Amino acid sequence: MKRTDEEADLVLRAREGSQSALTDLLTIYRARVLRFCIGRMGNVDAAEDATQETLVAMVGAVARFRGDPTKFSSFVFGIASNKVSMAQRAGGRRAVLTNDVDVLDQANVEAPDRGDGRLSLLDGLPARQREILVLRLVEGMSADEVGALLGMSAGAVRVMQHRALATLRAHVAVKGGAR
Amino acid sequence: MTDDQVDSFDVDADDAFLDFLSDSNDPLAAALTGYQDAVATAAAHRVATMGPIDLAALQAASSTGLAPTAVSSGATSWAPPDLVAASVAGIVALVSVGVALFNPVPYGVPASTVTSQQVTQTPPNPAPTSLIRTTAASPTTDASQASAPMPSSTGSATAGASVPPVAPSTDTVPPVTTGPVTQQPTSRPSAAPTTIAPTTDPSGAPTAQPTSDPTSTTSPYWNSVQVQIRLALGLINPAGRLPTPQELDRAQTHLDNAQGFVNQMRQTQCAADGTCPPAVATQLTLAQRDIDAARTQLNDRRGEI
Repeated sequence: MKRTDEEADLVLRAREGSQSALTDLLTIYRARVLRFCIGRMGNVDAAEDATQETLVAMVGAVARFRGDPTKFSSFVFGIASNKVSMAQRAGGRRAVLTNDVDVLDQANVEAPDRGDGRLSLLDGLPARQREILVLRLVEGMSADEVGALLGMSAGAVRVMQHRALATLRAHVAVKGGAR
Repeated sequence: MTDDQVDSFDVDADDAFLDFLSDSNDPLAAALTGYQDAVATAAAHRVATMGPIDLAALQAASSTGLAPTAVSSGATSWAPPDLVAASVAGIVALVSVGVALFNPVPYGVPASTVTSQQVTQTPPNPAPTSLIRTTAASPTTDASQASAPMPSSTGSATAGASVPPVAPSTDTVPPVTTGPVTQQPTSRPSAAPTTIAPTTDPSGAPTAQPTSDPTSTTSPYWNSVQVQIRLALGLINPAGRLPTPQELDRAQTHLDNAQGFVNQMRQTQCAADGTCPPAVATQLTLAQRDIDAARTQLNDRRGEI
């Protein structure tokens, strides 16, 4: 059974009241939504908060979900996108992860010469462009899937992606030239 | 890559986007895949510290529409430990006099939902910091995360972008023989490594770190071993599907890294005649058992795909 089929089955069973199916869904989406929120916010603590908000909303909404079960991820990421936007409006952007000692210590993935703000790479982009890149990069969604989630055509997604990449390319070139 | 090519891959095809990301010679592709891995790794580590989903608490929060602090009976709380540890009375006093500038909002709680009444309900005892972090899982024993979805860099079948950003996984060898080891304080073999992070493979980077308790007998390599094993298991057992060959290769790398840390632990903390302190000996045994078990799973998976 493919992943989407399994998820759809979980959605159907959760909708009918299965607690175990709902727990499985939450377990799956906790990691996925957290990745998405980290990508959007650049701060793990803030992302965890937004993830929590998303999961709470998801618990309340799954029983009412009447869409295509195979498109449940779009539904969840739509919630997550709103939660991130609300958090950013409420509190503004927090500091980027580079000073997050906890994560740096735990993960220790930031090599000394690459550690300055890898998670802030997308910070300079407009919110929608950033969201598109996060969904494409972090979640591996196709342009069609992103478009369905954001209410845009796939072509529009690709155009915005192109603009985002062009901006980033210029940024990377400047940084590279400065070294 | 020329601008024309960028235009074409952006506008015409998703596959070209993935091809672009796998181009390690392109600085933008390298930056993006580095970003991709950083996000995935940060999320994986955060998830690894979370306990199982507390469905009851989430449902309670959802049904009331309030922040969980308000529905918490003390078993769960959104308040971070440092806030809980602070004087609750002081917080209540500040809120009660309407000091608007002071924001006692526990992280995760929308400011609009926090009232003085809710703050007074913050339990005085340390509690898990959030509903999705219900347990401070110990990396030494928690194998439950093995089946949790781990960060495939792409999260889809389009796994071309999941290649580690800068170097192929084959470049990653156990840290015993890599540069990072030379950065460790060899004059103090019992001390934790300070900065060890190879620049090649972020996902396979050593994660050795000092334990939080300097008097602890836990080896500084212990957490690193466990993290590497957990990352490997996550790749070996992706939720709801079979792993890709690339994921299994990356899992192999993580297991090699774990084995390297075990070797390093043995070299730095055991005597030349092979005798080890009891705690270290136990950890070595457990770590080796976990690595061997993961290798067995890996081999089984290779047979399945």
